[in-house]
Amino acid sequence: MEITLHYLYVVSISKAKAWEGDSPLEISMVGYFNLVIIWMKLLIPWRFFRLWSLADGIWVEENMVRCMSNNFSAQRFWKSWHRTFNRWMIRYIYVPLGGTKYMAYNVWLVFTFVALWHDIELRLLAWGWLICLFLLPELIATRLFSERKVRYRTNMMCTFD
Amino acid sequence: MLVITGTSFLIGCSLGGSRLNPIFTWIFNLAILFSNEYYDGYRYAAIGKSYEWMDEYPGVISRWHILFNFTMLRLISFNVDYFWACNEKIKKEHHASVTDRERIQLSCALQDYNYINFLTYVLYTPLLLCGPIITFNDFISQVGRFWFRVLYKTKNISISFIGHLPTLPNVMLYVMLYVFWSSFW
Repeated sequence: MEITLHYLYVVSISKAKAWEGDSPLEISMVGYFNLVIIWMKLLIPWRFFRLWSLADGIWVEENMVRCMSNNFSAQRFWKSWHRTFNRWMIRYIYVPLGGTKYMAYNVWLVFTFVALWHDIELRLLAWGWLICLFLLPELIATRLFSERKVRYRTNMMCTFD
Repeated sequence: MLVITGTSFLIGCSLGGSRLNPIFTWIFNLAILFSNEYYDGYRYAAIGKSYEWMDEYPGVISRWHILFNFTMLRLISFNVDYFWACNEKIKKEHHASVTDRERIQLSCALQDYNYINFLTYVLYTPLLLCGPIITFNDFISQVGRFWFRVLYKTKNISISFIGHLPTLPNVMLYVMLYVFWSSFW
C-alpha cells in the first residue's frame, strides 16, 4: 500500500487539488485511479478479516467479488462492491420494501440509507441520490429491452419471414 | 457499547414477533447512528468537567463510533431474524448439508435467539471491526460445526492472500499508470 501511494501519487494529486492545467482526460484518470486505490485499500482488510474468520471455521462471503475495471453495468458494479453489505440491504431493506417490482422507487431509500450509514453528511446524501439518478436510465433500458421481450420479437419476426 | 447493544437486544427480545419489533429496531438504530455522529462517540467531558481527563485516554480505537456502523447492521440482523423466526408458520428443519443460501434463510430454533448467542455474534472478533457482514441465522448455524469445505477453502485463500498482499496489485497498478502516462508524453 505504501509503495502504491508513493509511485501512484494520484491520491496526493487529489488531496492537494493539484490538477490545475490538466486536460479533462487526465482529471478523469486521477479520479479513476483514486477509485482503484480505494478498491485495493478496502480489499486488503476485508480479505484479511475474512481469512481470519474462515480459519476459525465461520464461512463468510467475499466482499470484493470482481475487479474494479471490468464492470459492464452500474447495477453489477454495486452488486460486487462491498458485497456482504449489498446482501444485507437486499435481505433487510430491499425485499421487505417489495423487491424488484418497485426497484425504481426503493433504490432511492436504499441509497439514502447507504449514504447515512457511511457518514451523516449532506454531500454523501447528494452522492447517494446522484447514483440513483444515474442508475435510472439503466433500469429503464433493462426493463424495455429485457431478454424475454427481445427474444419474443425476434421469434415473431422469424415467423413472419 | 454494551449499553447500546443491550438496549437493542431488549427491544428485539421483548417485542419478538410483534410488528413493532422491526419498526422500533430501525428507529432505535438510526437514532444511534445520528447520536453517535452528533456527540462524536460520547465524551466523558459531557458528564461533567471533572471527568474530562478520561478523554485523554481514548483506547486503541478512538474512533469506535465510526466502526460501530458495522455492529449496527448486526443488531438489526439479530432483531429482524428473530422477528421472522417468531412469525414462521411452517418450521423448516436444518438438514445435514445446507447451502449458503439456506443458512441465511432458515431460521434458527427460537431458543437460539438468546443473549449469549447475541453477544457472540455481535462481538465476534474477526468480523467486529469492518465485516464482511454475516447475518445472525447464517452465523449461528455455523457455530460449533465442523466444515470440511471451509477448511479446504481456507487453505487456498491463505496461500493466495499471502502471495497477493505485497506484490500483485501494487505492481499491476504501477504498470497501468506507467502505460497510461507514457502514452501521452
